Amino acid sequence: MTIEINPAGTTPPELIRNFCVIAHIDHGKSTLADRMLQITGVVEERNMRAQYLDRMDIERERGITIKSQAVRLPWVGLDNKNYILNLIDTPGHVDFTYEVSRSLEACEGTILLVDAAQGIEAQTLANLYLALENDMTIIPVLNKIDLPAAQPDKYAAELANIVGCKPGDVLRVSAKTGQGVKELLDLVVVEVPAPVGDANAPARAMIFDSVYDTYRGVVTYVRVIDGKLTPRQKIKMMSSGATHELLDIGVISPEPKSTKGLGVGEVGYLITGVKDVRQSRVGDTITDFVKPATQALAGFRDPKPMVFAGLFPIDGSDYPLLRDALDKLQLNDAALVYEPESSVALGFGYRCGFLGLLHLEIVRERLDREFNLSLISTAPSVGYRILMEDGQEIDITNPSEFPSGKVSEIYEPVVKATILTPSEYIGPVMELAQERRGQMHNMDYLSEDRVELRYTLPLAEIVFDFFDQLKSKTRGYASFDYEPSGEQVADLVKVDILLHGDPVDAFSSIVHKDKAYAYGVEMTGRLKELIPRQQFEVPIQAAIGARIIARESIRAIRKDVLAKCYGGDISRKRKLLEKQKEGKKRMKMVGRVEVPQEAFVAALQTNADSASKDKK
Amino acid sequence: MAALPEGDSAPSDGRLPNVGNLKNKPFSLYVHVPYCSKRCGYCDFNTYTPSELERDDQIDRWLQSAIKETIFARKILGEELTVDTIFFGGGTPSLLEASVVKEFLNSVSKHFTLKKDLEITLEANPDTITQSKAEDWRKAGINRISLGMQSSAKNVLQVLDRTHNPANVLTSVEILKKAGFENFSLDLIYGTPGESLEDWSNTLKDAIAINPPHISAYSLVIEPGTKMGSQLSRGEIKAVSDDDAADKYQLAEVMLTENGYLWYEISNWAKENKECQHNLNYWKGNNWWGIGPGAHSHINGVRWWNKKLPKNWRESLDQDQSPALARENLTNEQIRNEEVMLLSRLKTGIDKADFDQKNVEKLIKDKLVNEVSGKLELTLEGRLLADVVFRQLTA
Ligand SMILES: Nc1nc2c(ncn2[C@@H]2O[C@H](COP(=O)(O)OP(=O)(O)O)[C@@H](O)[C@H]2O)c(=O)[nH]1
Ligand SMILES: C[S@@+](CC[C@H](N)C(=O)[O-])C[C@H]1O[C@@H](n2cnc3c(N)ncnc32)[C@H](O)[C@@H]1O
Ligand code: SF4
Ligand SMILES: [Mg+2]
Repeated sequence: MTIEINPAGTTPPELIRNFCVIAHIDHGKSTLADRMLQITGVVEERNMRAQYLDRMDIERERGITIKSQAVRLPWVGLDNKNYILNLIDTPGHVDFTYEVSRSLEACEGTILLVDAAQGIEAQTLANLYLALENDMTIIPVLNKIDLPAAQPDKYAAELANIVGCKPGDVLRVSAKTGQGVKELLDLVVVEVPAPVGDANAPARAMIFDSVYDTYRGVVTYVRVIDGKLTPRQKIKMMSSGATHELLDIGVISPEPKSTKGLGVGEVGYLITGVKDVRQSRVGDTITDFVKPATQALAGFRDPKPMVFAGLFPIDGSDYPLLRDALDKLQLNDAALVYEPESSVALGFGYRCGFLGLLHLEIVRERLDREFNLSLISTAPSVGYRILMEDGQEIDITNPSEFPSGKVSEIYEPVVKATILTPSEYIGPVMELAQERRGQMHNMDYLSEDRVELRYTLPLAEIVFDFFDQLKSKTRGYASFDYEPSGEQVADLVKVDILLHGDPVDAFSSIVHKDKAYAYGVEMTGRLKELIPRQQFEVPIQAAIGARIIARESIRAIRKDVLAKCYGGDISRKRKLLEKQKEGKKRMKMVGRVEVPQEAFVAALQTNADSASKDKK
Repeated sequence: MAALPEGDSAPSDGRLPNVGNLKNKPFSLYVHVPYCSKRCGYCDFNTYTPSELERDDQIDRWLQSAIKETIFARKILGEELTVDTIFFGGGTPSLLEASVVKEFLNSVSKHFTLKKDLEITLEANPDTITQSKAEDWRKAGINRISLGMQSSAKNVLQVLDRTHNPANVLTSVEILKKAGFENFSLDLIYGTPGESLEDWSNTLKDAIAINPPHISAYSLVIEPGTKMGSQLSRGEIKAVSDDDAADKYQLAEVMLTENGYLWYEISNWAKENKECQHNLNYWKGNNWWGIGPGAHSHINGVRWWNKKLPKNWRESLDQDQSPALARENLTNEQIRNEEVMLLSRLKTGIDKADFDQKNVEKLIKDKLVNEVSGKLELTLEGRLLADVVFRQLTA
């Protein structure tokens, strides 16, 4: 048996380095982590598999990291001392900005990892700004230098410019071959400050991740700031006052391993037996129940849903399954909120709130994949705050809640957006942002041919096909990221779509006054193509209140009969009619109009679809 | 070629399940003659041109197998039934020599009882009829001809890729009348790509001028897999709109009614008492045996269909086995669905009392059906929306 040097719980803080990696999707974060696991010897060669830390299937397949992980890596520094490096994996996408910020909070330093063939991307930049706000040490690194297409000199200059160092200070590695990774680990020891905390103060630890596990209940990842956490200790959540007992506490290296505790500066997991991540929330401070700290760590926040959509089972009898599935997902997703909703057109479902578009897409995909649910999703929308003339204030997350009385002011959520584009596309990008009611704040040349644009944009304007448009206007070269940034007054109206005089709630939308007409024309036109002709003429109208702003009409069907019916045709024809009858059962009735499910799906698709592309 | 419906496997000995009394319904024979000199562009019938067949399956070998199936039918049915109607369909039955028709009917009369003055129809193509042939058919017992006129517009016949021209139709009718065929029908097709409303109106006018006792008018169906189906998918021809077809149907109804033809089934019009009895038997759910490759049969809720290829059909019969490929034992619900589907298409209608009256009221309100002394009868609009009516009646 080997004697463990620096066992957890007793590691002196000066020998600890906590760091994370900020990188754009596919720039090589997971591969770099793999190399670190190997080089530090925590995973033996023969047990190595690609993307070791990306546990969830969905993560591995989509190549994105949803949930943070923390691994403890032993490393002998250039000074021959035995260090403990804690690698904290951060979620890469903006929807999880809050989780990113908590992961950053748990570290003193960050590796800024950039693909040497691609250069920095907007999402990385947004996360970098977060890190800089936290006063963290940044280690700029170019990855994939083994690629023939790598342009290390060009991008080193760019990175140096952004971070404010010399191009020569940018480390060059290949996560694939391992070249430079050892040097990188040495640099982490030298550059990243050791954690500082008071070992004798009441315990304080920050939760930077919380994951539901079927066997063990919720696994909570923490960074200890002051004091110490030990097994069987009674702890308290400082936001809620809830108390738990530490059933298990340990580190991950890379498999979970129970320890005698976690001390100042250490990073590890703990298990209290709670079954729902909402009882152990990211950002919360854990303290000792008997000797509690008086002051919680700063920054706890309830992540607020920003994007809303109705989810409806295609087969109405799946409704209870949908409810169970959402309940289960919520065990592992504190940010997911939902409440029952019923739609004339779509039946019973749930109005769900998400952190952003990727979050929506992930939830939808998990419902489909893990719970086998076929769903219709309404177009994503945002929440509005509405002031009525009588002084009343109403918050709505669904166009159907739009009040009918006299509205005085409507507030819509806005985001701060970062767009990176090759300079040749500045024109089209600015045009697009303008079209989407964007306000430009500044424009910076990152290098000769790459520009960073900063905008304030209404969230509602980007939940539709903004990212698609941006990509198509820049031949796929632009990247984009955003973070919530308050609200603004806007001139908004609710557009209803009426089928044969009856409003179809699923198609109602709150849009800017200048865009109402375009929305109406687009939607009525689309429905005209999607809804089969009926026995009577069906007018399709778009209306703001009682005012019709666009109209189409589906002419009455005049012929629906099979011409001939000889002896030999009878079986075939009967089957055909029986099949048609089955098909009719899946029609939804809007007043007297039969609308096939597929028409709803297709009509709502263009918008929802672009959401799913946003993450790619 | 139209795909056969899927069904259960049919026993090789051809034995029927217990089908009960066979004598309480009229019984007909359908006789399939699967040969054509050339395949028309829209045709998806089970028919073959000489070059597609082996020597043993050419038209001159048809008779022996057809007689074998007649005898097989007699054996399976187990009793000598009275035949109510006979129909030679195709393909092009008019390609058969009159002697073949005669010998076949002789054989039928040996194994079945023929009803007195039964209707015996033969489908004929206008360019296959000669005076002597026509006279011999008449002598052999054929008493009704269904003539495939289709259109009197040259351009339409061309798109349909028919072998005959408009003049052939007039000549054929002359011959038929002279040969003593008072009872004959003209088959028309409307809605061919490129056919104008005027083309159709002229076709109707010309057909009416011939003064046949019976006229069928079918809206063209272009099935995938046919020549016109490929032309359609390649964009060489354009499908006509449902509105165009509806206009043409309505024109047919007006012109035919004005000239003494009354609709008795969605696509069929006749002068008084000249309805096709054979087809009415199909639609009323009566029994029939279909002889020939791919032919369909129906006996008291059991439907089956023969192997499509003449070779497979022949070989089964040579081994004294059933030529059936598959069959269906209809459930009561299926039997009822067929009854509604077929009877509702007839002028004589279907009993109103048997349906959910809410559904019926809706159809009446939408002017798709009328109530006529306890029966539901399709309106003109309803005839064009008969499938809607069926779905609603059985909802
Ligand atoms: N050639 C080369 N490919 C790399 C390197 N690092 C990562 N990759 C590849 O880049 C892709 C994305 O890497 P991954 O680690 O999943 O990126 P992540 O999305 O940031 O976690 C994978 O196909 C890796 O094999 C590298 O240093 N050189
Ligand atoms: C059994 S078919 C064939 C009879 C004969 N061989 C002929 O073509 O005239 C009888 C009638 O069905 C009609 N018909 C055949 N194929 C059709 C199609 N694809 N669409 C509409 N009617 C069709 C034609 O009017 C044809 O005369
Ligand atoms: S003649 Fe009749 S059966 Fe023969 S190919 Fe033409 S349409 Fe078909
Ligand atoms: Mg990854």
